Order: sequence, then structure tokens, then C-alpha cells
Amino acid sequence: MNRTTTAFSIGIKEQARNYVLVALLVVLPVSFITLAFAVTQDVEMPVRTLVDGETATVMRGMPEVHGVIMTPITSALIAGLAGLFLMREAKDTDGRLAVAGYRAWQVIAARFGVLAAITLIVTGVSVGVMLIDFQPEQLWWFITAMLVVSVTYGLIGMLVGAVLDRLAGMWLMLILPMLDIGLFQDPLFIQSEPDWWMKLFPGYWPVRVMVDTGLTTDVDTALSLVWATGYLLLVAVLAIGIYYRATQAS
Amino acid sequence: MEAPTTSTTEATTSEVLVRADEIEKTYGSNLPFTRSVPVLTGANLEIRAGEIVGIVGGNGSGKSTLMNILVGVLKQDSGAVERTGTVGWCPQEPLLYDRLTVTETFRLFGSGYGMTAEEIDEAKRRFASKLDFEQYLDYRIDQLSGGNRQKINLSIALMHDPDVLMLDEPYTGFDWETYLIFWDLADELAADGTAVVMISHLIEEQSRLDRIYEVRDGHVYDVTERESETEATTGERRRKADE
Repeated sequence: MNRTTTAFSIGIKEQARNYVLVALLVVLPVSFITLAFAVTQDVEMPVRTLVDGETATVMRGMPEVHGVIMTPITSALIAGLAGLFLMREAKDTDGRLAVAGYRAWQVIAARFGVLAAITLIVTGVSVGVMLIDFQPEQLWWFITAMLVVSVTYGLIGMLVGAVLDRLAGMWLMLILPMLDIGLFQDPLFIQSEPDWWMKLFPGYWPVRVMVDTGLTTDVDTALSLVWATGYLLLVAVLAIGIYYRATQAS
Repeated sequence: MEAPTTSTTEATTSEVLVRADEIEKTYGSNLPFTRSVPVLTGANLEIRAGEIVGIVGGNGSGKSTLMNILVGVLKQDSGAVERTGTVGWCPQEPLLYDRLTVTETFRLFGSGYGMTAEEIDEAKRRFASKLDFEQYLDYRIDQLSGGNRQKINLSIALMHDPDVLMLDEPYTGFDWETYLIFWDLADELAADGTAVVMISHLIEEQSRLDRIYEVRDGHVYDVTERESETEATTGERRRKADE
């Protein structure tokens, strides 16, 4: 086994023993997604989305809309906390791996590989729980947007972990997805196009795709997915740079 | 201020293995109305093969800062560090992954040192036997006592037989027996040509050191003659080890 594979496989074992993360993975999807479906009143609500390239309002059941919103909130929240924990632990200890002979790219590949694996599991569990109560109109587009927003939040968690301590970082990563996806991007709250500053949040582009492909039969937001991917890449470059600075000296 | 430089080459004979030249380091803050703290303002030192070198100094004098720069985990603001050969580093706080077992910890760091699975296993058994933690190999790091954690911390620094061993108060938490074993180990390593550098607070240890550097006022002073009344030279240590 080479260094990257060793660090990756041991990193996965280490995260599997992170009981807080495992508990979040078991408890949050059920309590957020399943309960949202269970308690939401089944009434039709006007929902803003794109139809034939134009912003339009369609009538959809409130539980469906809640499902479309609560699923990415759950996934983004867990992925963000996972990214935060990874960075906090890495800041303290990964520098010693560099002294032991690991190249920077080997540790980066292993750590970001672990985050990617966690994000895949989190997304899978969140979507799986959602599918019990709700089937998106275009499942694979929906899952792709879910992955993009989850990875983006995982990387933001790493960025936050580089500048804030564990407690402050946890508070921020608990609040940020709630405000972003649960308030600013929720078409039930924001009936018209969001203000410019709400569009700067990581959930804007992917949630547009999820609302469109979750609730309508046509794909009008392919370009939004491209922008969401661009946002992800930008955050990834920042996270890699900050990780490198946090763990390497010479 | 000159740009800092660091270089690492392979050790050959008993020559200078670590050389620090005019090292400067100031801890600053990007926040307004906060002050920066100059720690090192032109530190020079040399570490030679086969020496046991102590770095002493008051609290906050910059001992750990100096060692972190020598190891390469902290970047100096200016000055140059030259390292020759492989380095083993035992930080003051055990920098280990809490949720890994002792065996997994050896595998992770051994892989970094470029050791084969057999070499890692052999080193693990050797140090587990010598430092008496054989029964804990399958324990997670966060399930170990402070003393046992420190034994793993030290073993990880030693497992690849480094040319230079940097130890930041390595015996914290050791019982008396382990403390003595540690010094026997340090003597054996020095006799084999390893340069052992350690931050030390205990005055009674200073007779065991070949050279003593004191970090004071941002500079490094060689205080060997002043501090060491019964000097054990490298040659004497080698003769003892041979006996």
C-alpha cells in the first residue's frame, strides 16, 4: 500500500469511530426529513421555480417542498460538521505526518478522499430517507445537485475549521445551512427571486436545481448546476490552499 | 529581512547534522490593536552526530519554537536551517490520532517513513517490549494513560532509526523505571551516531548532556561549560556503550 492509500484507509477507520458523526448520520436524516414529511400540513402552496427558462410559480404540496429543502439541509449540515472535525484534527496532527515523510499532496489526497467518502454516505442516507416519502421528478439530477451542495458544505466546514475553534465552528456550521438553504433559498419563504446577497450563499445554485428537478418534469436549470460546480471548485481551491498552509511549514 | 531557507540532505559521516543560522521568529496577529511577540532574534546553533544536546531556558523563552523550526513544522521569518539525514520528532504534546489504535498509529507513520510492513511490525514489537506497552497494541490512543501515550509518542519518533532525534520534554508522564530506560536508549542512540536534541527543564539531567544551549532574549548561547560540572563526553559514552 502506498502512503496515500494507507492514510486514506486509516482515515476512514478513524472517522468510522467518530461516534458523534455516526450518531448525526443516524439521527438527523430521520428527525429532519422524515419528521418534516410527517408534520407538514398537506396543502398546495405556490412555489417559485424555472419553467422554460423563465421564473414562474407552480402549485405543489407543502410536504414535497419541505422534502426538497430539508434533504439538502440535512446533508449539508452533516458534511459541514465532518469537514470541520477533519480540519480541526488535521491542524493539530497532520504536520507530524509531513515530518514523517508524507508529501503534501499525499496527505491532501487522503484527507479530501475521506471527506468525499463521508459526503457520499451522507448524501446517500439523506436521499434514501427522503425516498421513503417523496420521489423527485428527476432523481439523478436531484442527486447530482445534492452531491454538489454537500461537497461544497464539507469543504466550507474545512475552511471554518482552519480559522475557528471547534465550538465556534460547530455553531457556525449548524446555523449556516439552516439560514442558507432553509431560509434564503426556500421558495416557500422567498416567493420572488432572492436578493443579490442571498445568491452569494453556497446553496443558491444547487437548490434551484433541486426545486426544479424535484418538483417539475423538465430540466430548466442545467446552467445553474454548472454555476454550482464552479462555486464548489472555488471553495475546493481555497480549502486545499488553507489546508496546505495549516499543516505544512517547510 | 532575508528570505528563510531550509534544506535537507542525506547524512554521511559524523558531521554537523543540523545547522541553524540567524533564525528569527515573531508571533504576530492580523487583528488590529494586538501586539506581535518577537521570540527568536538571531538564533544560531549546530548539532553534531553522536551528541546529546540539551536546549534549556525559561518559560516562554522560545525553546519549543526553536525546536519546531529545526524540525520543520514551523516556518522561521528569516535565517536558514540545514538538516542532514532523517529526522525523528517527539513533540511535547503527543500529536497522535486519538481514534487510531497503537498498531494503526505505527502503520500510518511507518508508511510515511517509507518502511515496509515487516519493518514497521519489527519496530513496533521492539519498542513495545523495550518501553513495556505490548499489552496496549490494540488499544485506541484515547484509551491510554498519559504516560503510555507518551511512550507511543516517543516510539513513533524513533521507529525509523533517524539520524537526528528531536525531543520536546519527552519523559513527561514517565514513571521512574521508564525514565531510566529512556536515558539508556538515548545513550545507545548517541553511541550509534544519532544526534539527540532535547528540551530539558531538569537540572540533574544536565550532567547527561554533551552540550547545553540556553535560549535567552531571542538568542541561543552555548552554556555547556557553565552548566555541566561532570561532563560526559561523547567518547566516554561510546566507550561505556561498547562495554
